[in-house]
Amino acid sequence: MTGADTATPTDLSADAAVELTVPAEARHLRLARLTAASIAGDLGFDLDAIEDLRVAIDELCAAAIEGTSREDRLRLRYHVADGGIIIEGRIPSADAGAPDLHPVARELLSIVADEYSLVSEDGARVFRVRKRGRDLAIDG
Amino acid sequence: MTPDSEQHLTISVDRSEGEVVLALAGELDPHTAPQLDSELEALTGGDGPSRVVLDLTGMTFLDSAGLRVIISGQKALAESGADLVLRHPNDTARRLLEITGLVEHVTVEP
Repeated sequence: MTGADTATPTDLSADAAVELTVPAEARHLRLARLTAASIAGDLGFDLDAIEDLRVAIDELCAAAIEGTSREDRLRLRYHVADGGIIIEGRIPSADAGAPDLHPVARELLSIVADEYSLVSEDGARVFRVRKRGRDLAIDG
Repeated sequence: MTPDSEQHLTISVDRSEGEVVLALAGELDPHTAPQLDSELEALTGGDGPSRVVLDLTGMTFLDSAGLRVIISGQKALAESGADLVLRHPNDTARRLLEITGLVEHVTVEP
């Protein structure tokens, strides 16, 4: 992370992205959740919004890694823009096929995320989720 | 009992006459959901208890993978004539149970 020398609730600017790369395995989903919660906490998200974000990133990561191989890597980028936290994920695997969301996961995401997408793109699985903190004025 | 960094979820089993309490400590997600699935599957069948309680006091995370195991467990137990009870879900878990409508199919003890 860069640009966080003077931490205030809303000073994680758009160019201060956090990047995380982990093996595309379910055991590492907690790292994705922990990173999201940490950033959201720094930005002053309330507990409900943080919990929503944890669920959202978990569901998208879980769907993205489904059926991938042990050698695949999940690349995550967390940043602040469009008035909230945006998390983008990518698994550059050509063999995994199109990702699919279970109906229960889709139901949860429709509630906990302000916006999300999960697609197959150029041989990679790609997702994006945006979550806005309540009553926050985030510039980005 | 708390989960260690490797285990992510610990399930403690307390058996009494006609009832089994599974106390969850840690995170219920795609990595750990199979643990709970195995525990619940072992309780279904003719010799199983009449009541299974999932004590969620120590559960710190729940997602759709965990919810699906609870849903399938509830169905399997019901077919065996047993009830599934969810005890002490935190606010977040309770909200997810409500979103998915699971609260209408299982008993939730506050």
